[in-house]
Amino acid sequence: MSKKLLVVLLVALFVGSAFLACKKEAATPVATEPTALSVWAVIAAEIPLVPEEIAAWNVIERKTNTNLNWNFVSSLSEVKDQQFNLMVASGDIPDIVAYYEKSGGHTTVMKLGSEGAFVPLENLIAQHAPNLQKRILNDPAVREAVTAPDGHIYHVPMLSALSAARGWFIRDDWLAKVGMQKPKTTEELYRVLVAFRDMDPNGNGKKDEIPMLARRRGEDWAYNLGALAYAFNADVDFVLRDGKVAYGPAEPQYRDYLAYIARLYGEKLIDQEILTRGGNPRDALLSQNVAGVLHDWFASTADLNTTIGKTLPDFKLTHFAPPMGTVNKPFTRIQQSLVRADGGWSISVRNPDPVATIKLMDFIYSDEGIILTNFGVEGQTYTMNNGKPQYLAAITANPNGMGMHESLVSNGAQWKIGMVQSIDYERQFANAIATEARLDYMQNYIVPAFPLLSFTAEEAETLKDKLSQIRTLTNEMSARVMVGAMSAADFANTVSEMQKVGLADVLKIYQTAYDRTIRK
Amino acid sequence: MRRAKSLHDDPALWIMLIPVILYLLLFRYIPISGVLIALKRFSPFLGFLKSPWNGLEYFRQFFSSIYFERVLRNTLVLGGYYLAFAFPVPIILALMLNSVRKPRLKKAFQTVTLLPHFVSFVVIAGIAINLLSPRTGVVNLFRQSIGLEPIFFMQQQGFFPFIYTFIRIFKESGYEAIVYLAALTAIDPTLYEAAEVDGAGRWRQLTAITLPSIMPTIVLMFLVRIGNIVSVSFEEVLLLQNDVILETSEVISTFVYRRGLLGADYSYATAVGLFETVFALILVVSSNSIARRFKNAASLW
Repeated sequence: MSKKLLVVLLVALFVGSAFLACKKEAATPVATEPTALSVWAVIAAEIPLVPEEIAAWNVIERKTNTNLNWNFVSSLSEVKDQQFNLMVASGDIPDIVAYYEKSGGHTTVMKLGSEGAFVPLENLIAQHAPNLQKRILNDPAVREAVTAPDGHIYHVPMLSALSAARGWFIRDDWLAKVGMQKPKTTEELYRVLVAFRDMDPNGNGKKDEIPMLARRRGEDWAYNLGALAYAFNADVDFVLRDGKVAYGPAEPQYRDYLAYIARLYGEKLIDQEILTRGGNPRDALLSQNVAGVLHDWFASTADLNTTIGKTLPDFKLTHFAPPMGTVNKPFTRIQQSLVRADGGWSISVRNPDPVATIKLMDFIYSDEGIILTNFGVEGQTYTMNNGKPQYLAAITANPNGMGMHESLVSNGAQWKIGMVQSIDYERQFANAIATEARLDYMQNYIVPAFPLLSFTAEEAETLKDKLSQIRTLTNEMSARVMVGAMSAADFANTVSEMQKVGLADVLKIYQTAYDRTIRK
Repeated sequence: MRRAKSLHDDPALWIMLIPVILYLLLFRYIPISGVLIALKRFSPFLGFLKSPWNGLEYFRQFFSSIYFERVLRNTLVLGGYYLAFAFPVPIILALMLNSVRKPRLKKAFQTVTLLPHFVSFVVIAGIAINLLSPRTGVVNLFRQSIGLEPIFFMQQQGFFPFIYTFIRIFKESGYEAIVYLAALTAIDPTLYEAAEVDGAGRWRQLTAITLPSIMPTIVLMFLVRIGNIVSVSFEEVLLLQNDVILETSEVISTFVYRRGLLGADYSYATAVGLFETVFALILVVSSNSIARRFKNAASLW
């Protein structure tokens, strides 16, 4: 009986699929029916979006003969990762997936790709996508960064135009009030912070200044504060020392950095609630006129001069060089690789038409697509000026009061997909202060970052066990030193605990992965 | 024999039982097979059957990691604080409510103590964190007004178990007292009348009549609580914890959430969850067998 049932089912399946195939074949020669594709994507700004009403994407859909059905998830890392995991676990993967991890990067995408969830793109690109071929396959640096350990490429990345990402900013008007210069060393920075704390630079008669603030990113409270480590030639993460991979927090100079931030925290020079504050303390505290020094993204921070300047006329934030502690040349490793870790998309195996999809992705990488995904539609959001696109008031002075980034996103630009950020976008997105700061950092301070590595499933398994414990120890114990619950010298015990957990194994895996990447 | 007869007599009752059995099978028993992924290197894409076997590797990883001792200790500490401080409160509350003579006053008291139970814990946690904030919290503003340094409560390891227990008491005591109030109403009033005639004061009535009468309920509730120690309220802890105090606030359930759902480390999280279940089972069985030794006290089975 069950055999009979099986036969019936199989017959039904064959007939059904033959019918479907016929239907499809009948549809392709006409080529008027757009390919319907579902897209799962992380939203680029926390605003409501109706993609069907965005002119730029209507053009893209028309030119590529596709009909995209977007499903956006919040960019908050916990929400986005959870949604992604649930989506994969349900087995119902949309045709196109634009996902990046909490810590940035595409290790999970690569791992799932190796297991068969995503389509390898190399052949598709070579056959159907000249623009992707030019910018991904023919550029060794980009190709290396997007190639999974199994040798395949599973995502089309988001490419940026500039490498300077985050840097130091200080309230120029406060410096003038306390009669000091921009700090060059950690000692000068300390004295400036003390002056900010004690000399009432905001002039309200209250001692309510928070001299320095540093935004966290998720659990990673050293995301911005950790930039101080470079002053002591230390690092908060993996770092190269003469071609050998080292773990920054296990090095002795990391304790100099810890001692310094513990001193700042102990004297109430760093935001005392750095570890618990939610929301966006940067915009909140700066507009309350209580914060003086910060390390953050160039463009959006410099932008505050405009937005906060409306209510605080004296408000002036400008950049300064990374401070020097024990090093005698200022430097920072913080930068964004041209392959952005927080953007890119993949084709799932459930995708009904990978060729049409890769053509869509290729179009986004074409000159026309770059304009559409950076500037939108001519006459609506930009105009051509001396052969260069220029944003119109719809973007720069959004009628709904949105900031420039939100305004761009609401017009279909700068989404977290496989797109190319234009240098003209960078020039206009950031105001003059930001551009000056980024050029200064790029020309004078940025040294090579630790490369983006990819690991085999086996390696990733060990890292998940051991590195997660090492990171937990680093994160918690460093926080304890900062708030004064433990001395910086005692961090040596933490390092020996890391060794017990298996730091040596982790470093070996990193070294292997590094050698493999560099040789490739 | 008797059972067969009852099936014959009351088919309707047995039919009514079917949905319950189905529910238990579908949602309680069949999912148990899912624990098998603790022994596999589970990949959601490969699915349950195709994921490769991985033996006891994840148990080894968990037991040898720095997290094992930590989550076990925190779970037991939070559970222990709960039993020691929070468990008696609803009993006392019920006794107090029971001795309020004016019915309207009693109703008012009961409503006030019951109300927090219906407020979402997200709200209560938010209120608590704000009250304890070093810059703007009422507690620290008060400390500052009498010349004391503000304390950053949510950032100090030692405070967490107390804050957690206190909030649990605030939120759940009124609700949990209902069970005891029900038990109290079941006491035969003639017992009190007889005691009064015999000259027993209120204290004597309490110890000789009230407490012994509700003792079975107390023991039963205690047993249920012991079983719950290990799965200490997940969302309560998750909403209150932050990275600085993770060392004293990470419990098994939040750890499973962090590794399993956030980290997509399903197999590892399942292994930890399985450990949690076995541990809870041991606790319940052993406390039940202790309870059975006491005369005229209830036990779960």
